[in-house]
Amino acid sequence: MRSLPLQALVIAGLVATTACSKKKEDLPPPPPPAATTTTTTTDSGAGANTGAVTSSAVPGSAADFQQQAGDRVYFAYDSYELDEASRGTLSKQASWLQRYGNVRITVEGHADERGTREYNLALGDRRANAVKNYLAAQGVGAGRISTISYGKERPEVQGSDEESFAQNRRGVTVISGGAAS
Amino acid sequence: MTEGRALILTGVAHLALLAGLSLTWSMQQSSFPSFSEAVPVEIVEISDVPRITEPPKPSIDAAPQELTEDAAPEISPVEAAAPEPEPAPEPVKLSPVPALEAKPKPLPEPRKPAPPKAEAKPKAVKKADTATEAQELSSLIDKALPKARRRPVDTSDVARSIEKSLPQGARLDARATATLEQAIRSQVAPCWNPPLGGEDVRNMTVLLRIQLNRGGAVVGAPEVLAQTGVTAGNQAYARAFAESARRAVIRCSPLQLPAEYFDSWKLFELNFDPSKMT
Amino acid sequence: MRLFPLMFALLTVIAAPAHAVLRVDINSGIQQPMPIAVPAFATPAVAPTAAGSTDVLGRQMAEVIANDLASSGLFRPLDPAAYTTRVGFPDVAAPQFPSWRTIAAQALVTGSVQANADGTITLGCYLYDVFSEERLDAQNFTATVPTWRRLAHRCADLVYSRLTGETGYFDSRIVYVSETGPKTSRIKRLAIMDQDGANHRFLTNGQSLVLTPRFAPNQQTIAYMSFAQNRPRVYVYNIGSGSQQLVGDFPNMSFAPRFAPDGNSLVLSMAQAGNTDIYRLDIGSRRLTRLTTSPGIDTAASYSPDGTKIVFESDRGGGQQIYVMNADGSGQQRISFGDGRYATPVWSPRGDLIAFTKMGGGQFKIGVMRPDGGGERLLTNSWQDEGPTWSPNGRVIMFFRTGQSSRSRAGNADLWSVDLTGLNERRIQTPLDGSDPAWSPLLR
Repeated sequence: MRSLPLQALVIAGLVATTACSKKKEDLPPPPPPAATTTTTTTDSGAGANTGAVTSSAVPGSAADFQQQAGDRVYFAYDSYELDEASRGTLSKQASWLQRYGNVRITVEGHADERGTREYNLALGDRRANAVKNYLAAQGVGAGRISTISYGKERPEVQGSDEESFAQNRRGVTVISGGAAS
Repeated sequence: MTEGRALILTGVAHLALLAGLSLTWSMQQSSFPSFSEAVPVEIVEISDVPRITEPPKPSIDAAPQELTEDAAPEISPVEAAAPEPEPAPEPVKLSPVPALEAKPKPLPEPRKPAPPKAEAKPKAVKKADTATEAQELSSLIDKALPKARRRPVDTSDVARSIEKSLPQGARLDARATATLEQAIRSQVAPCWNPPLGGEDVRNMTVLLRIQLNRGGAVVGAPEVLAQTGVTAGNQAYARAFAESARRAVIRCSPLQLPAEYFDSWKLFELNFDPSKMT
Repeated sequence: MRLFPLMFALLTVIAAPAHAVLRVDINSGIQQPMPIAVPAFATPAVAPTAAGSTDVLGRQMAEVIANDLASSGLFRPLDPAAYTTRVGFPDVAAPQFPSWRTIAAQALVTGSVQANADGTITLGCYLYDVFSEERLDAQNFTATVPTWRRLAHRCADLVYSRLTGETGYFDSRIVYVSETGPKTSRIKRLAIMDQDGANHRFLTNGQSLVLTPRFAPNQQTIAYMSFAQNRPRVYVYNIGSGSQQLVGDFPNMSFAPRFAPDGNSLVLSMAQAGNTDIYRLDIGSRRLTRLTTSPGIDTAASYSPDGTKIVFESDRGGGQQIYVMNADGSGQQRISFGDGRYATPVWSPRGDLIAFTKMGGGQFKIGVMRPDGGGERLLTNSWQDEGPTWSPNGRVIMFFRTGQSSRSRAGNADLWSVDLTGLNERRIQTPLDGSDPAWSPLLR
C-alpha cells in the first residue's frame, strides 16, 4: 500500500519527463481530443456506441464489452501508434467502461514473432501503455487500468506469415474485475 | 521556450526523476528479501526430475508437475566434484596414480632412425665460397654498373660452361631454387593445420630449422629459431602454434625432394606465416 | 673487363648462395579437424563403483571425451574400430606410437580410471603427440563417482587447451528454456544440462511462463524472468536449494537480467509506462540505480568481463542498435552502424568481441563485432537466429533458431552452436524444443 503513491509519483514523473522531451519517440502517443470519441466508427450495425441493439449478453459483462466495443486493437510492424480504427475501438471501450464504473481492466500488449525476445517485451509494454493512455484520456480512471506485456510469447494465431503477424500485433483489453456475470 | 532552455529543463526533469526513482526504491528496500534469507517466492514450483544421464525422450511428461519433499537434490557439483585442478604443467601432480608415474618408460627413439649419415661431400663447401663471392660482388655490380652496359655480351654459353664445370649436387640456380621451394611448400602446407580462430593468430609466425637425411626424412626435432606475435597473454596459444608447425614437418616426412640438390635442402628453414590464410 | 660479363652470368645462375640456408615461407595450410585417437581408458584394477566398474567407466569416459572434442569442430576422433592396438594399463604412460601413426592419428589421449578407498575415482589423463612421440601433458583428476562425467570433461579440456592454445570449455553447463506445445499456449520451463546434453533436468514445471535465464558467475544461481502471478518480473533460482526468489518487488515489468562479473549486482530492464530503461541492482543492499534515461527502449544489457562497461541495445535513434556505456551509465555511445537492426548484444568472456542478433532482409543472423563496432562478421543466417551466448572460453557461440510456423504446426525452436570462425554450425540435442540458452562459466 505504501508504495502506491510512490508508484504514482514515479509514473507521473516519467510521463512528465517524456512529455517535455523533444524526441519523436515520445510516449505516450498523443490522444486525440475527447470530442472525436464516436465519430470514427464505421460499424455496419446501428447505434455503434449506444450498446442497445441485438446484444444477448448480460449488460456490463465481459461478453457485453466484447460485443459493444470489441476487446482489441492492432498495430503496424514495430509500431505502437493507434490508427483511426484502433482509436474508434478504444473510444467505444472507453464509453462502455464509463457506463460500468466498477469494471477494472488489464491491457495486454503483444508483438509478433519477428523481433528479439526482450525488445518485444518492451514493445508490448509500449503498446499496452498506448492503449491505457488513450483510455485514460477518454476519461477512464487510470487506477482502473493495469497493463502487462507478453512480448511475442502469446500470439493469437500460430503462423509465420504476414496475416498472422498482423493479428498478433495487438493490444487486448481484458476485464479483470467488477463485471456483471 | 527556446530549444536550449527546453533541453535544460528536460535535463533537470530527468535528474529529478532519477533522484525520485532512487529514493523510491531505497525506501522500499527493507521489504525486499535478501538472497541469503530463505524467503522463497512461492510461485514457480520446482520439478523434481532426477538427474538424467542421457537426454530424455521428448515428452511433456518428462517432468512431474508436483513438488516433492526432498527437492534439494544432488547438486553442488561444484564443491562435490572440484577435481582440484591446478593447471600445473607437471604431469599428474595432484593425487598421483603411482602405478603410472612410477615407471615413466623412456620415450622410444624418434621413429625414423635416419642416422645423420655422412654429410655432404667436401666439394660443396668449395663451391659455396665461389658463390659467396659472386653474390657479394653482385651487390656491388648492381649498384655500380650502368644499366646500359649489362646486356652487350651473350653470356649464356659461358654460364653453361661454368655450370657444367661445377661439381654435381651443388648447383642451384634461380629456377631450381624456386622449384625446390615449391616442392617443399607443396608438401608441407597440406600437413600444416594451424590452430586458427584465436585473435592473435594472424600476427603470429614461427621459424623452424629443419634437418633432413638423404631420404628426405626429418633428423631430430625441428628447432624453433624464432617466433613473432607472442605476447604475455597468448603463451599457450604460441606454444600450440609452434607445435602445429613442427607437427606439419614431422608428419610430412619424408619429403620427396630432388636428390641432386641435397646440399641445399639437407638443412633449411621454414617460416610459417598464416596471415594470408582465410 | 672480360671478367664482368662472366661474373654477371655467374650471378644470374647461382641465385641462392650455398652458404645461406634455404628459407621457405609456408603461407597456407589446411583447416581440418585434427585426427585424434581416444582409446578406452585402462584401469589398474577393475573395481566396482556406484556408476559401474572402472573398466566400463574407462570406456565411457573415452567416449565422452571423443564426443567433446568432435563437437568443437577442431578434432576428428578416429573410429575405435580402426584402432590396431589396445591400450592396457602399462601402455597409458608409454603408448605404442607406430600403431597410432598407421591410422593417421596425430594426437593420442590415454587414461586410467582408478577407484579410491574414499569412494572417489581418479582419472589419469595423458596427451601425446603421435608424430613427435612426446607427452604433451598429463594430469590426474579426482571426483566423486556421480560426477564422473566431469572428470572426462576436464580431461577433454586439457586436450583441447593444450592442442589449440585456448582454454577449454567442456566442463560447463547450459541453462535454457525448454518449450513445447502450440505457439499460442506455449509451455516453457527452465532446464539445465551439461554442455554435451547429459544430465538434463527441468528446473521449473511450466506453470508459469519463464524466459531468458542467465548464469551468475558462481554458476549456482540463475537469474531469469517469470510471468508468475501474471506479473513479469526477474527472479533468481538457486540450483543447489531449488529455491526461487524475486529480486525486487518492482512496480512494473522487470526483465532482461544479467549478472555483473563480480556477481554482486545485476543489470535488468524495467518498463515504466511504455518506456524501458536499464537499471543496476546491487544484490546486497537491493538498491536500484537507473543507468539509462532515453525515452526509447533500452534493454538487453551485458557487462564487459572486467565489469567496467555495459553493452546494450536501444532504439533511441529510430531502430534497434547497439550501444556501449560505462558501468555507471556515463559515456553512452552507439557502436553499430550497419544496415538493419542490431539486438541482444553479449560481451565475450575474452572481452575482445560482442555477439549480437542482426535483423535485415527478412533474416535473423548471429554476428560478432569488436567493442568499438569494427570488424563486424556474420556467422549464421536463417529465418530466425537469435539470442547468442558465449562458451566460457569465448570461442563458441550458442543461440536459438526458430523455424517458420504454419497455422497447424509450430515451427521448431532449437539450440544451435557455431564456432567463432563461422564453421561447425551444429544443433544441440534437447528433449523438447529449446530457446534462450545461457552458457555457464567453467565449473571448476
